[in-house]
Amino acid sequence: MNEFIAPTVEYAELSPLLIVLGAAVVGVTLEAFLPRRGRHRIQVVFTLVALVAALLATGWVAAGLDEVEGASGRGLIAAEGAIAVDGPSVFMWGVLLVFSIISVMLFAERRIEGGVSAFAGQAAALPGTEAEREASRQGIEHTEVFPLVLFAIGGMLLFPASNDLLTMFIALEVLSLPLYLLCGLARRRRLISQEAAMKYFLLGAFSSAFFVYGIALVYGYAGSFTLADIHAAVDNNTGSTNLLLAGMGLIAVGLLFKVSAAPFHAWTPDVYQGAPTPVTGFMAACTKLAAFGALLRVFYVAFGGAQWDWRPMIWVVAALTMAIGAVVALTQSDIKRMLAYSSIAHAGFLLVGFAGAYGGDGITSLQSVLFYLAAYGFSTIGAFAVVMLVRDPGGEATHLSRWAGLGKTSPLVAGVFAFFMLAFAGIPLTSGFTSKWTVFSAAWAGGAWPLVLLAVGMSAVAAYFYVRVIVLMFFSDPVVDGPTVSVPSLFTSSALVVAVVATVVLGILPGPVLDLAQQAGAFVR
Amino acid sequence: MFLTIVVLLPVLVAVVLLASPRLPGPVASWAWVGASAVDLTLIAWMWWRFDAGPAIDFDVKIRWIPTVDASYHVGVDGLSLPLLAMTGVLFLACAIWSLREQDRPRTYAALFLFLQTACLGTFAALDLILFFVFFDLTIVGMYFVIAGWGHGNARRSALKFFLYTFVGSLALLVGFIALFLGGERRTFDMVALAADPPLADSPLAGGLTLLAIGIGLAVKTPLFPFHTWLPDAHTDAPAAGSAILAGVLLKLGTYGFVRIAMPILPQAWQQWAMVIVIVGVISVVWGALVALAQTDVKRMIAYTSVNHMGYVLLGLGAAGLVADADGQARTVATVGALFQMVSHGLLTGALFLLTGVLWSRGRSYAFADWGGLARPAPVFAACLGVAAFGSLGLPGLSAFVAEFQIFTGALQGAPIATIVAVSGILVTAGLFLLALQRLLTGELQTPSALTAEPMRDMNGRELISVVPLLAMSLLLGLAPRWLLDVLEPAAVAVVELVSR
Amino acid sequence: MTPELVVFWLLSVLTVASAVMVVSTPHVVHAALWLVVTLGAVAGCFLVLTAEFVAWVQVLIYVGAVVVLLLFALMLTRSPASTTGATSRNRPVAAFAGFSTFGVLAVVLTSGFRGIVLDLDSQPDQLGGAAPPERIGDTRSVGEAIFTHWVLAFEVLSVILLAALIGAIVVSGRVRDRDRQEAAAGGGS
Repeated sequence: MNEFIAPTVEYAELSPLLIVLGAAVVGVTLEAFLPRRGRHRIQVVFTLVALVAALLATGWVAAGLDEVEGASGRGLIAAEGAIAVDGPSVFMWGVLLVFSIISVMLFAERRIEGGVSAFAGQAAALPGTEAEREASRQGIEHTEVFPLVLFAIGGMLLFPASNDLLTMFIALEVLSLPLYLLCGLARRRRLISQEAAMKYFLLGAFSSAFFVYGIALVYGYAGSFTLADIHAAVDNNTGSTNLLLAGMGLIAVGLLFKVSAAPFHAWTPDVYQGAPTPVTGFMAACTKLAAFGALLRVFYVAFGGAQWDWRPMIWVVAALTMAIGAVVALTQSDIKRMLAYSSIAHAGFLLVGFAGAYGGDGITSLQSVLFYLAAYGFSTIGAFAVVMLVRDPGGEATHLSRWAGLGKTSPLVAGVFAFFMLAFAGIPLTSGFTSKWTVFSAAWAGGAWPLVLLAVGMSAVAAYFYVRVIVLMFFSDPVVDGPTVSVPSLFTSSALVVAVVATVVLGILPGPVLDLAQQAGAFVR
Repeated sequence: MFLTIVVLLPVLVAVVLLASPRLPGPVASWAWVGASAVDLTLIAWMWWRFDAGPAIDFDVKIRWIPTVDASYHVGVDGLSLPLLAMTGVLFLACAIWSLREQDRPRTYAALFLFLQTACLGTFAALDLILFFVFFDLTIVGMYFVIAGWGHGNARRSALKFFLYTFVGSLALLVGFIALFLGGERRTFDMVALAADPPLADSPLAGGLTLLAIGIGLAVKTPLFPFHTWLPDAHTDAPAAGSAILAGVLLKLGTYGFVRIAMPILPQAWQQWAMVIVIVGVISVVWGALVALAQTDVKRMIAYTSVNHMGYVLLGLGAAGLVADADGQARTVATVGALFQMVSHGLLTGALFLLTGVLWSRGRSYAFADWGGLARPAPVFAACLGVAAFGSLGLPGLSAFVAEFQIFTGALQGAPIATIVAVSGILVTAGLFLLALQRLLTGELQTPSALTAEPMRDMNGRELISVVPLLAMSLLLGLAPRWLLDVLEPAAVAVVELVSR
Repeated sequence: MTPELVVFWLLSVLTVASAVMVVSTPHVVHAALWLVVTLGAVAGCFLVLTAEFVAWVQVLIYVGAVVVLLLFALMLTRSPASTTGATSRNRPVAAFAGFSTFGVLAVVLTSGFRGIVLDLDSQPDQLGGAAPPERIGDTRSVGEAIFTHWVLAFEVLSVILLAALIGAIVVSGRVRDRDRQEAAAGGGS
């Protein structure tokens, strides 16, 4: 009988992940023991402290990464090969945690709903019943959203850093499950919120199943879950190519679903519309980042040697995603749905970058996609934060016609929203411009110039509907008894300020962040 | 740093204006006049200090995005200095013109100051990304001017303008990325790229890149067939906005050809020079003929801009006909094209401001609504006459000097094209005379909006803004030497770069 | 044909047939019971494949716990005993998509794994255990793999369960009376 050898876990390098997941567990305990009255405040403070601590830990980990011998990246493989703590991982961790902090601040907003949060008072009460009315009258609210969002953030940290497919699948589940729940917890318009949660859950479970099946096939091909082993198997061309191709395709379906790329985007508009707006902003920024991180890692690290097989697929998906996102957005009359289609279009632009040059001098596709994700996340959280503020008596005024003339009644809020629209359209001096040209350069350098040309055309189409919103807000007459703009608490205002400042700074001085993305270097394996 | 101050001064004043919501309207308007005047003084001082020669003066280079070697690189040479000066003059004229603006004067002033920074920045930029940033910002600024202060179908025209030029700018961006990736040294610096032209060994890639950049600039210029946004935007824009759009913004397109396309893609420019000449000639003829058919003063002037920009392209294209013409002829053509840019800015600016007089009196631009204005408004008639004769190329005014040089220079390389283009002058002359006849002579006729009161002549404010523009055009026509001294060394340098 | 293969085939047919019954029976409780058969047959397949640990886990957790939970949930909630026909016009399209996916996967799997034989007794360990165990799929080797190589994944799985637990409480739990009084006293601020 041989002895059991205990596994080694690099606790220091994994500290951001451990802090977030640990805080989630502690948050659950707080939920059980604290009196209801002070719970909201304590949960908010605790969650924010945990996230800031994780961010500091990420900075500390980033400072201590060592060069890998014989490879271009920096970092190490931790936890018995389950996690790659390398430059891109740490970069994404940092950006994710910053986005999470902003999002949690939006979660914590209570002033604009008149003293309660944007989440349902009692999710178990049926919509429209006496129980629901009583719950909202008494100001009961679910503070469990804070531990739940911490669980999701933990999954998102793990997802792009996973070094084997099994860990990646588990991370996918950890990040998805709390999101399914959070989507269904809107205080207003609960039926479409619950429908959104149901739809997201069913389609999400379906895509996870595809992902797992793909993993199984790739395991059959390479005999291993580890990305490095799969890479070696692809290079040596062992095993059946059919298994590899089918496996890659199915894994891609699972990941492309999460980044909401066409034709796996059908859930996005419904879910973005139905989910509570803070959750929508969180999903649009953070889920997209984590899923793109995982997509890049799987395809560059594991399947890098088979790129001539998957590149055409990405080309088609990128072209389709851009076209559907930009064109269908033209017909939307609901602001959240429009932003959802805009998010699909942006996923397409990101895929254009992904189809670009992995290596070489100039801007690599990894660098450009990382930068794009960081820049887009700030603007999109900001845009959804503005959506939270414009309200009718029955909740948020999401119908576009209600926004007419907003520039005349509340110029500041309309100006901020117009600024985000210009950023999405890619006007210079906003982060959108910088990210767009980095992505285009990377794609062009990688020989994907037809995609770049299409992307240019689609940016023009997209610019039309962004500008249309600006026209509507500033050059239309205000509607009679139009929506009011609530004055938010310090949480939302500071989140908005951060989003605006980041969008400006990444537009005017993108150098430092681009450098950071470049120093992040390549994936290690 | 001096040039940076010149570029950024207007936008700083704009920020101050925006940040003080309590400011009374007239104070804001005067602040705009003051800022533009100070800026023009600074540009004049730069002109005085400028050492005529091909070298770049007031050079500033600060690292901006080191990973892609993009920098904040601005400078002044013989190509950009006259255009900077023209921009300064025109914006000051518009500032004085708009002193009585009643509709949100503070925002209006801030928007124009922002636009001025964007225009000056585009002319001063020596880095492709910086150029593009300023270039795109002019679109945003002009969009808001038309949409917010225009009349008629302003929102639609503004959106059309925005989308059209935005698509053009995206094509430009694609071209810039191709230049960046095509070079030996990956850089966005125009000086470095011109010294070591990218894509030299692949005619196909060079040609496609020129096509992308050419489309981007042609939309802005605008050249046939990308000019369809122009008449709408002009018709619905306020007078000052039209003056800036025609006087300055169109020059961004032609300036881009001289500054970027010619020095950085010399082989492609030579190879496709004849095509460029032909596009120029088509724009000349098409613009003139369509202008002839207009029933609206402002649309007519808008189409003459297409015609005049066609001359510029003809001159620049002729500069690339290395095999067919000697160096001197090509230099003359280039100088003529550069001269035309300045001259057209002054004259068209004046013309559009003069149409603003019509609008402010009778809310109409239609030829059918006006007639016999020479009697009640003699000063207006005189100014319009000078501007129209200047624009049709009467000797003694600036456009003659420009067009004469363009034809002289282009005749050797592209004789047929030049002869066709000269016929454009005849059409333009005809249409301007026709316009003068319709508006100024005959029975007095005014739109119904004006019947209650007599037609007022131009007031002092309008005169102070228009007359200097015409006076400068006259000065350039009579004594072109002082501008030619600045333009010629730069033109020689460009021609040398193109003939590599 | 070896006896193992015969057993395996029979179990496979049973699995597929009962799975079809799960989705086709109109009665929800019947569906749950058919699910027991399906999961049990899958456990049988695992046993034939010498994955004894997985087989017993399957029986204990899926057949024993999950389905029982499902039945409790059906009984405790007011869900209708039989479903109304949730058919839609997309049915032919869905059937086409389903069968073609099945076809593709069947072809891929048979072409990928045809003729591959795993020698259970001398095969080097593939699951990352420290030393070659006696047999693949036995409890010892699975345990070692889980607690060395897959320790992180294993721990994170428990996080999923916790999150699911909290989620279930959130969407179903009513506020207790004590809390309600507290909230009322707090004035809902």
